[in-house]
Amino acid sequence: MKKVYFLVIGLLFVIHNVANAQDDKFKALFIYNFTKYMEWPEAKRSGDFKIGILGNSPITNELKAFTAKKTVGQQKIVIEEIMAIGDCYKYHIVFVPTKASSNVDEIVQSVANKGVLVVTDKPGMAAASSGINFVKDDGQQTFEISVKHIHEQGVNAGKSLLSLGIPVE
Amino acid sequence: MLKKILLCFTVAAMVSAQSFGQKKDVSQLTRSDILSMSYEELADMPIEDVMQLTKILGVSLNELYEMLLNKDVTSASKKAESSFDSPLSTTVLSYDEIVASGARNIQEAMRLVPGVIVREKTNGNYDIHIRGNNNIPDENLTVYTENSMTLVMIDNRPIYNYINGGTFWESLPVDLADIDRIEVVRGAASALYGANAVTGVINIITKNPESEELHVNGQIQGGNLGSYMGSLNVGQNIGKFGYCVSGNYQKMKRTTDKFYVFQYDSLFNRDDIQELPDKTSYWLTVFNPMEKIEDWHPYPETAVDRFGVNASLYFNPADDINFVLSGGYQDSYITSSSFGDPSISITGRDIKSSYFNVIGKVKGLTLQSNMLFAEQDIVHKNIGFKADARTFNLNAEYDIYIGGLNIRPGISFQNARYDDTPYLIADTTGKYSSGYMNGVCSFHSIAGSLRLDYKMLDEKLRFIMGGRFEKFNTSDDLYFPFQAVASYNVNDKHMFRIVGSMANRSPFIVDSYSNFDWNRQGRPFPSHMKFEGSKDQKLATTKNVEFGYRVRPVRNLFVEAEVFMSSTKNFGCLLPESVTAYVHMADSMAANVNLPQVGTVFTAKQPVPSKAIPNEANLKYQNIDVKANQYGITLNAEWVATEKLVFKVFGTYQVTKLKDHVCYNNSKIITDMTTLAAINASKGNGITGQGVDDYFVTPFKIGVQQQLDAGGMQQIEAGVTQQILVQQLVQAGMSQEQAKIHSVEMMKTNSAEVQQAAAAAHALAEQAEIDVQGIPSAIAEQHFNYEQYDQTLKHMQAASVLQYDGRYEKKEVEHKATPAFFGGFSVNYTPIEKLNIYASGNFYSKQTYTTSNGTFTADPKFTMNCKVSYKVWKDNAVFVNARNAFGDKKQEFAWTDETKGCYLVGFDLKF
Repeated sequence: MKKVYFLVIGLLFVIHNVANAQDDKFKALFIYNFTKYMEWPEAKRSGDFKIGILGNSPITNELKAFTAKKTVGQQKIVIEEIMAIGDCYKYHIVFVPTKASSNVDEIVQSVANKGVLVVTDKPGMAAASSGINFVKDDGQQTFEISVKHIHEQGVNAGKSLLSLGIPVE
Repeated sequence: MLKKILLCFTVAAMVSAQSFGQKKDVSQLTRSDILSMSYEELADMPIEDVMQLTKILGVSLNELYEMLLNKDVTSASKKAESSFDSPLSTTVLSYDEIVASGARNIQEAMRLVPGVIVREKTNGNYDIHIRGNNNIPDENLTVYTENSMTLVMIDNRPIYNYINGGTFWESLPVDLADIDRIEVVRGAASALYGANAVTGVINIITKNPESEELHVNGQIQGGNLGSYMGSLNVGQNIGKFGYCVSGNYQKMKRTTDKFYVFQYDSLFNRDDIQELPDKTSYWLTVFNPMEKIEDWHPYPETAVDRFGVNASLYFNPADDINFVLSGGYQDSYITSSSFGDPSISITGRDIKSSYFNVIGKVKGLTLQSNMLFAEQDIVHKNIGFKADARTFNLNAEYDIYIGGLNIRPGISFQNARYDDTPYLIADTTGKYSSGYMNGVCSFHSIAGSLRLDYKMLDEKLRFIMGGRFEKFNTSDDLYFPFQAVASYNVNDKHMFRIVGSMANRSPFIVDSYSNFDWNRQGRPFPSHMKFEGSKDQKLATTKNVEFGYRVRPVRNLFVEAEVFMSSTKNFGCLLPESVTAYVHMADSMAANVNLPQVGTVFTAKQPVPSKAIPNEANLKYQNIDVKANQYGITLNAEWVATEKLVFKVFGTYQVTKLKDHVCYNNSKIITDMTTLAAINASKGNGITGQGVDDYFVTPFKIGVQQQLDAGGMQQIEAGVTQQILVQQLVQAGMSQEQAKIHSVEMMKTNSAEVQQAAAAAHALAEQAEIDVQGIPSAIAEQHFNYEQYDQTLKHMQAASVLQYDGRYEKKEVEHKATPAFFGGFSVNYTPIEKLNIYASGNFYSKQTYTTSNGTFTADPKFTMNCKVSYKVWKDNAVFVNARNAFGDKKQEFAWTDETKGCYLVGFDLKF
């Protein structure tokens, strides 16, 4: 019977590690692509280009893999985990994983007009407060985009990006 | 310098052109292409292309979900439909899943199917049941533990053993490489497929060539337990024609080379069994002295040794016209549970067969005809169990569509012919008597069917009515299996269905035509047993009701529940009909040696070994009253967690109760019949002849005569000589006392008087007669009747004549031979494209078999299997494969071999 327990624990470990790996990879790829189609305020066009992930998320490593040798203009891309909501204003993009979605409103309030794009991963978030929200449409990974919220966050979105995402008012 | 500039320019242009040429057309990429792209490549793509990639992935993921969770199936309606929409309880196993699982053969692959009970008998040989109903009747022959209620087919061609029902799985000519998919339908399906689809259908669909490119599928593997096996299937289309050819080979050894002997409850080496004393009669042996065990088991270590070859030709002149001609040959030898009733639990089975199968589809018309020619030695070298078999099937169906209504009328003809005379020796009159049939036996059936399939409300609501009239030549009865189905697809996420159906088994050769005269010389009583078939018996029939619900709450999860209830009756078996017993109505016999004028000179006494001994038992195939009522639920869930990870878990809980169950133990019945024959004979009833000279008296007389010849008569003559001398001396005036003393002195001399007296005594001795006392004895015949026996034995118990356990009283009992809980799971994990790990497990709860050989309990068991494969070139992979990975030894089937872990390495071919 011990062998069975060992087996079940092993299986749970496997599930935990691989269940959403593919989705995370493409979400990270989208986030990296957002850097190409957004315009940040002048104050944030120097220093490192910082992307913060609220809490521990597998997207962090995926983003690091995509951005290891990349820049935004002259700015080196840095990926960091955000340890406190009060630090969100320092970043260019803040990604809020599904499990941290309850903090989105507080984050949005804290970064208003500070040039921080808030990206979320829970149905209804773009309509509520975030700038971009990941969703699945008939199995396809895509995103909702709220021009209004992006402007409120002090960022401008390129037209081509607006045409690709699902607009949300 | 100019040259260098030109050279640099040229190189730069070529590199540029090459890189331009290499720019990927995103829309042409496959899922596999995308998943193999590097982070660098992905990061360099514009977001429009990334969106395109996710679209391809999304579509391909949906396709993957459909492929894994909603496979196409044809067996539930005889036309292609998605398994989610299937009106019956249906499971489809794909070739890819079977190969990934590491199953060594088709039988083992059935462990991946919900509702199917798979128990290993010997290494690589399995007992396979859908929902059980096995071991009915209990306490009878072991053969009734075999499944005779499920119809196994290859491309709709029945692979069925009509000699006594069931499937000789090892005699399937195809193997893993031939499979496109295996479709399993649970529940009564005779309305669709005819007799024997009582608990369900297993339809093995073989590969068709799908393109003009050559396809090659196969695997080869080897490991411990003497295991090496392989199968290969190649094929392609050439214009409107196509072909497939295949071959397979399997060899596996048993986990022991010993054999279980019922009487001793122990394993013995083959060569020690021949002389093993019979515990009940010490002068006999356990094994039939008329046969040799080394003939029965020439390969005691062999579990499976088989090969098969197949070829198919395809002609597709138009989209709605196609023809297939297939043929093949197989040769198999296995050692597994016995189909006979020997003193050991395991016997060999040797089958060679060839077949052809023709399928033609012309617009709505489907025609199929096939023949099988087989040489079947089902209890290897056991006289009477070998026969030539020939089966023929012809089916025609026509599909008519009127709006949402599909009407399908059909006709079919089936013939099964068995002949055991080529393997028997005729007596001087040309008659055969040592076989089970002793002649050519055949049955045939003709059937007409009609199926109405109506879809309405945008095909969400579906009604199916199907029926089949079938007439067998062995009975005047007309059988009408039917099926009524209503299903409702609420949307693409929820599907409800209800099914009511009835199905019947076909007659079997043994049931209908047995004509076996078993001379049991050298065996315990009875001396003769006669097995007789009966054509006028009713066929086992089941009524089945099912409620089904399928749900896909999200695209990557499929859950199915099926609640089933069934009632099966008209089981049958060989049961004693009459017994002829030697009845002796005294405690002992005495033999007096009588001389004329002298009287009795010697008395020999012998106790009677038994009041009554069965001499002849006639067993006839009979319907029995027992009914099997079953209800249960099967749950099945499949979850595609990611494209890399797929889970499946399934389980069945069921309860089977036997109503009107009584004792079906032939030995007990014969013993009771013999006892009652003695009682009746003592009352002057049932006596068919006077005396039992042949059995009791003559042997006793011969024994006494042998004593006389061995010196006893010399002593008698001496005694008579002395008596004559005493008489002469008394007549001469001597007293009796003095005469006796004087005669002793005279006997020491050889005087003339003594010689005369001795001559007279010798003359009298030559007229000696042996007179056996202790008669009357009788030959009594007794017929069996459950109710009468129950009443009689109860009266006898009340009179304190014997103890009666109520074995002939009809009772409702729980059926324990089918496990109440069984199921399995699998995890298919592909961490990287080249690596695949498939782990699967099976479990079942406790089960108890009772046969005429006693009771066997199989403890609950969990079996774990795992295959790890690594693609070395395209889809061709090396692998390691562990079956029963933890090496659990517990026996899975009554009195068969302990199981062991089987560990293999091999290579999967696919291109």
